[in-house]
Amino acid sequence: MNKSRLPAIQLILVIMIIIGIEAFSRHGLFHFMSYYNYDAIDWQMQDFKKGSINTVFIGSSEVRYGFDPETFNQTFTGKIQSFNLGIDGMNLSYYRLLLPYLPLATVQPGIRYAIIGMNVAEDVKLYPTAEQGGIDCDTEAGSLQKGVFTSDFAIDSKLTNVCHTTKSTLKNLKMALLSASYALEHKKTLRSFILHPWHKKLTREQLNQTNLGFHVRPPAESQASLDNEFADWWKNEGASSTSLDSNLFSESLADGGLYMWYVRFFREHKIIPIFVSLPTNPRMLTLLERTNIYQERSAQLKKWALKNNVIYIDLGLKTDYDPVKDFADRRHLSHFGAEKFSKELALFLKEDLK
Amino acid sequence: MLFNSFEYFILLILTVVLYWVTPLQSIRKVILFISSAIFYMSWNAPFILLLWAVCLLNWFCAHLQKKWHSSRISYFAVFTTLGLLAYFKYSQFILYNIEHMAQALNLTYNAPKLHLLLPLGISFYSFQIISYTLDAKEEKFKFDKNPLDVILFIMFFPQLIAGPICHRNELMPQLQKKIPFTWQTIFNGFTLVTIGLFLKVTFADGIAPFVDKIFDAPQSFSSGNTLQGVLGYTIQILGDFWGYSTMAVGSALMFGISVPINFNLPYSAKSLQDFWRRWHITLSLWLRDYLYIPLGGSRFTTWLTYRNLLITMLLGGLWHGANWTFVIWGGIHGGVLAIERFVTSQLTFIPFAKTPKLKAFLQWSYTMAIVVVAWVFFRARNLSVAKDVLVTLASDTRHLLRFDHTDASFLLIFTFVPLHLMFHHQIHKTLSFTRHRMTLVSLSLLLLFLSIIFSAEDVQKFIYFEF
Repeated sequence: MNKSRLPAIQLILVIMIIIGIEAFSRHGLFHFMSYYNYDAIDWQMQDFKKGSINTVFIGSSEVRYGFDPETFNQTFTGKIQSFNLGIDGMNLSYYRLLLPYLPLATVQPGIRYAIIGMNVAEDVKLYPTAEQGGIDCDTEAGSLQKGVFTSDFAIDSKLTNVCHTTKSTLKNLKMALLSASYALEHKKTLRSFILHPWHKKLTREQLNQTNLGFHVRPPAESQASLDNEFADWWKNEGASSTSLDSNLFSESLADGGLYMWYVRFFREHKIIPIFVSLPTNPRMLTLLERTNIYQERSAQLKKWALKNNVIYIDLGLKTDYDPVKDFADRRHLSHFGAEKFSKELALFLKEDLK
Repeated sequence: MLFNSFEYFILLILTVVLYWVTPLQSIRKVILFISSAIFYMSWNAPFILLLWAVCLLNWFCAHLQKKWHSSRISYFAVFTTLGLLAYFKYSQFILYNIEHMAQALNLTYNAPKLHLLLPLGISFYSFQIISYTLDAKEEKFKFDKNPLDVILFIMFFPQLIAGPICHRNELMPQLQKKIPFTWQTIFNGFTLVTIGLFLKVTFADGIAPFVDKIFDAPQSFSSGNTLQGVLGYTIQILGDFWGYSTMAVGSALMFGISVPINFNLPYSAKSLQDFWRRWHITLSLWLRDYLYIPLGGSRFTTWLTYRNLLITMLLGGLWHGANWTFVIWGGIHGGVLAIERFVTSQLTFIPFAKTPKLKAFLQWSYTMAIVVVAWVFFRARNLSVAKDVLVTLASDTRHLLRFDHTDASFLLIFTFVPLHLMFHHQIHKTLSFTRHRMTLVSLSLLLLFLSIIFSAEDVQKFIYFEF
């Protein structure tokens, strides 16, 4: 080889390596690594693209573990093809920030119904959207939310504007420079791919997740284990949890509030929103002394639904659910509970949708 | 401001551009002065006054010493500088030790908590300014009339925080004269910066989490994992400090200024004496010139030589930090250096003379064993942790090689071995200015790209910034 040509060949080789890394990052990286920084969502989104779906369940882990689309579909005898898009940690406030970036309508243009799972007993906090400046992920979000909101999917969707970390001018400049290359923009994942060659994504089976996005959870082991869980939770968290702010709840029902946002969002996409209160572990309500508050809110919601021509189904206060068999823990349904609840909901809706 | 931060690269690039577009050397010095001040003040602005005060004191004493021909003036400056270093770095350590001694004697003494902030780089700039004062006493250079030149000599940002510890005659003449611009120096310098950056962010930062995990709770891990942690630290500290030093050399070279290298394949040493000729070279030379030789060096009896070696290494160890772990580390090195000398002087034949490769391998193995064990003390936050690490290693020798291959550190430790030889070769080729410009561009482009990818985790501090 001519020695004088060697430096030029070296430069071409380096450029080819960089282009190769760039191309692999764009087209191959996320076959091996998690795009949503969460295997469960990766599987959900992958499965969501398959088949023809006309109904989606939306909400947090309570939805993900609580709605069984297969039972739901069977009760409807083929008219409904539903899919569970419940995401851990994404209560309706967080889901509102995420929802505009999920490719629902583009992937499944036939969606007609969005069933929104609610927990009326929980505190309501309204987070600002990207247009309103977003939220500071360093202080506001928990690890589950921050993980998803700073994932590669979030980078590509510019979701990091919604859930941002503290930024300076230099940091903005750095981000702008990095955005010139897809590989550099997704360097965290690329680094994990290179340094953890033994990394394996969790399979759908390992996650106990069906191909309709439903997470199958076994019932609580025993009354004693449930008692222990409650005792631990009460000691670490429950006893210090503050009472609910009734003003915030009223605000969320107002025109610019959280629930009206969902109504507007889905109506704009020609999707009918259906709000559903999930069965709440009665012991939680008793322990927190929130039964009265729950009933008060349920009545408010019903009034609101009537006024705005929205379907609202309250299945929150169920006495026929076995706390050990139908619940997996203090707040999530087991697969027995999910089956029962999905059937009941389908029957209710069958009537309503007539 | 860390060398591996985006802010540093902005400062470096801006300063390089301003420096070379300025025709006057006096203005160039002002640019370097301001950038160095920004660099230091980004950590803690008021402490720059201490740095300036130490520089001015030493410069003034050098001036008086020249005028009055009195060594006492120089020693006054040296001991005041050491006193300040001792105050900031060792006063809390001394008080805690008094408290422990009092407890041992059944006396009551509660050491007050001083909450002193250690001025960044004080160990390094103190040694550098001391060498200035002592060299001035020896009349190794003409007196510097402008005190700002002395401050710049100490404060020159590529070497301010963690060396290389430069002598006045190595650096000052380069800061005084106008250096002609060549693209080659920029390319060479930037290539070294990227090599150093790659060593730091890929190897040192990549291995650090595993090492931290092991040294935080050594008893919770198997002997194989602990050995992986110890070997990991052996690589981490080299990658970290060698990376930093290479970035320092490269950054200085971008201004056309050469500063001495600090590393020369230390883990290929075949004796501990050889190791210290290759590891932190500028500190070794400083300790030799300003401590070991003034103590008597090897000029007197054999036992005095051993004593001098031990004192030098014990103080060298203590220089790294106010902790008994550093003293033990220095003690191991000093003790083994003395034993090496003794054994070498007693040998009447050359062992393994007929099998030089086996001899070299045995020498290397022995040296690395000492170095690696000594690093355990250097890394451990206290003697109890160091003991736990060594006990864990010794307790289950059958599973010593059962490493955790799922952790990133495993891959990094084993790829470092061949790659560091390659990087050493590249550094020397770059410093000898024999590389084609396009080759340098290729290398730095690739390393910069990979460094950005590997720097995905939060920016880690350089280990030697702590000292």
